[in-house]
Amino acid sequence: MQNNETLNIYKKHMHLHFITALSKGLSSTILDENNQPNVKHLQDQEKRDACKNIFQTTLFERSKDEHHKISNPLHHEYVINQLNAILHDHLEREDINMAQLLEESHDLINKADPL
Amino acid sequence: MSEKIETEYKPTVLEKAKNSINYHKERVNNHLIHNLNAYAKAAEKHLKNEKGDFDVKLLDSAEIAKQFVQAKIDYHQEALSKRIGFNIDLNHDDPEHALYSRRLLEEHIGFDPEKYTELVIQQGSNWTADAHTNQHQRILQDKFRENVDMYVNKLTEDNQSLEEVLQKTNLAGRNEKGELGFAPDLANYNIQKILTNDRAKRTIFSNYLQGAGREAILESLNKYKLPEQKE
Repeated sequence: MQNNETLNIYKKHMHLHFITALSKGLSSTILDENNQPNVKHLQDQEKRDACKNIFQTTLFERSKDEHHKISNPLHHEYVINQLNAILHDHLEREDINMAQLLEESHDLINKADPL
Repeated sequence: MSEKIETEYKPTVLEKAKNSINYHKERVNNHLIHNLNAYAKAAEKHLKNEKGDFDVKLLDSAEIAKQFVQAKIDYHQEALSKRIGFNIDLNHDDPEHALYSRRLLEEHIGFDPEKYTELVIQQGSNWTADAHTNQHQRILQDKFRENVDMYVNKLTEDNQSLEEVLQKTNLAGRNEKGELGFAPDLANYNIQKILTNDRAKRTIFSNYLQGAGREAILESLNKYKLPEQKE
């Protein structure tokens, strides 16, 4: 049976995977040549798609062993799908609101309680 | 010379306030992106075990926590140097340069670097990506809020700016008589109460400066709505 400690580790790792995947996705799409963010790049559909793909692939790859840490592996799939959906929504607004994006994603992970 | 002055564009007080708020809004967003990258880079470097997998428990080691924070600070230092075109160097031979660098860096990351290291050592593996971004978000949002409040205070006394907001948000009609003229959107509201109530004016300015649309402003003015007329 899964204990709280394992669930906590799951959440901590999911936060970490989310941040690193998002960083990778955004870095390769909205940073300019001086490494400064430029959200205007999000007006370009190709860049938005690239960001989504990089995020999705990285998050999936890095978190693929995390489902062992929770009692219901299907719930892990749900978390991944929801995180992708949250980013998708924000990107399609073409003006990413980082504070809101981080809050929504962190809330989702913190509520992950498949016991 | 006088002709030149006449054609020069001078932004109104409200436009200046809006530009400043937009600038700060963008800064908050950009900073959160930088912060995210700094965390991710530091994690790639210091939070991976021998198998190459992330392991947050590594942060329970004071030595790793120290290296982790240093990697973050290095990232911020480089990004800030590029943005402002000044070489941020805390160990510069010129003490004034070093001191100035420290001030700029502290302002940028929101922490004193040493205190920051202490905090992460203390929190260990509880210093999660979530805790990390929340902390920074709070600092930045507080500063943003202060900025909005400052302008709202400034604008509350200024009926000219109020009129401008009402027209820009299509809440009011065209002002032809030099008085505030109101279009149907505000017809169901107690206009006198709004005009003489600082709290109501603050609501309008605050919403507008933060980018809220007409509907949101009307919603927040609900308490000034007139009772429905019975036919």
